[in-house]
Amino acid sequence: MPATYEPIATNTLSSSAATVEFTSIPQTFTDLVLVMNTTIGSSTGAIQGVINSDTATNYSITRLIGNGSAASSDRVTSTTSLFLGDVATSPTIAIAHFQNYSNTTTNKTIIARGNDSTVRVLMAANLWRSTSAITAIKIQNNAAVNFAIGSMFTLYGIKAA
Amino acid sequence: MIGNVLAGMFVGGAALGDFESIATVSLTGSQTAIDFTSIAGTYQHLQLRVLARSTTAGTAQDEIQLQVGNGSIDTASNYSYHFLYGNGTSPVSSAGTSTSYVRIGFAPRASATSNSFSGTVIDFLDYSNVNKYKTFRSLGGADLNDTNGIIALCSGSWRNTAAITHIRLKPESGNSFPANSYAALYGIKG
Repeated sequence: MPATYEPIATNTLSSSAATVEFTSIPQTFTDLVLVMNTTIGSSTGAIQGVINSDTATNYSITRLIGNGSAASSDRVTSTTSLFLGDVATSPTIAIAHFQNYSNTTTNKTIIARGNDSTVRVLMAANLWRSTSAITAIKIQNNAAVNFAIGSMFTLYGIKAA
Repeated sequence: MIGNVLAGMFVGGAALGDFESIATVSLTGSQTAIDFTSIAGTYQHLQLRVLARSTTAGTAQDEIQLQVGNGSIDTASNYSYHFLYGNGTSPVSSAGTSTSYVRIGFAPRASATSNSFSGTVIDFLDYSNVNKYKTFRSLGGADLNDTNGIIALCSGSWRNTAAITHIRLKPESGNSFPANSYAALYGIKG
């Protein structure tokens, strides 16, 4: 059987950047997996995703968080971006799954799991209220600080038989 | 190895090319279950990637139930499970022992946000090893009704040492997965 888990593009920052964007995403896969290992120079915040440059209030987020002493869950409805993970001065990891991203019948569900190893572990279910195929994903953060040099963003495609 | 780590698995020695598509079920109409049969034992692990919704009335979530077997689906009380989920308000954890299925995920019910499906990634580790019981785990979630959502970690066990050759997914209460639900099964080599 053919191999089906393929890297589409990788961006490892050689200079700090406020955003990273994958554009012209091929529509030939079934699922996308976005992997991020990031740091910022100061502060903490959320790694956010914007699909197809849609910054309208078409996203909702449900999260589950454990911080070492308690678990909690929260939710944001009708917001302007996805929640994909944490960003901090220590390296954080986040992996997001965009399933059936190219279909034009259903809204898109994106599940993500991330951690700031010094603070907490978390996961999130995101909805992008659009039936459009996903052709671009922009990654940003709400800390108002650039992603630091060495931050890594890789987009993979998985193709079902 | 990195491909398998990225898929949510931690498997030494494998490369991107060792992640292979086995079979996919894409529903064009409602169906009470999604089955995979005659799964070859030639991989080290399996991963099932699912988008699902349920025809059950209401706006809350249905559970997605998992059954497995060797040669046929085992519907006896040979399973156990635990789960932890967040519903936007509080964390919830529960378990089942000696059940006839594993609660492996959740799916929006019929009156949830239109055209919205849960996403779930399920890992079956060492599924063909005949020396130990089988363990599963998943990460999944969905938006339910523009007011509530769910994000869940689930795990389960099948108390049988036989190799897994059959997998079944079904919504609770004998309801159905509607059109546009799909499940894609992948094999990961060791």
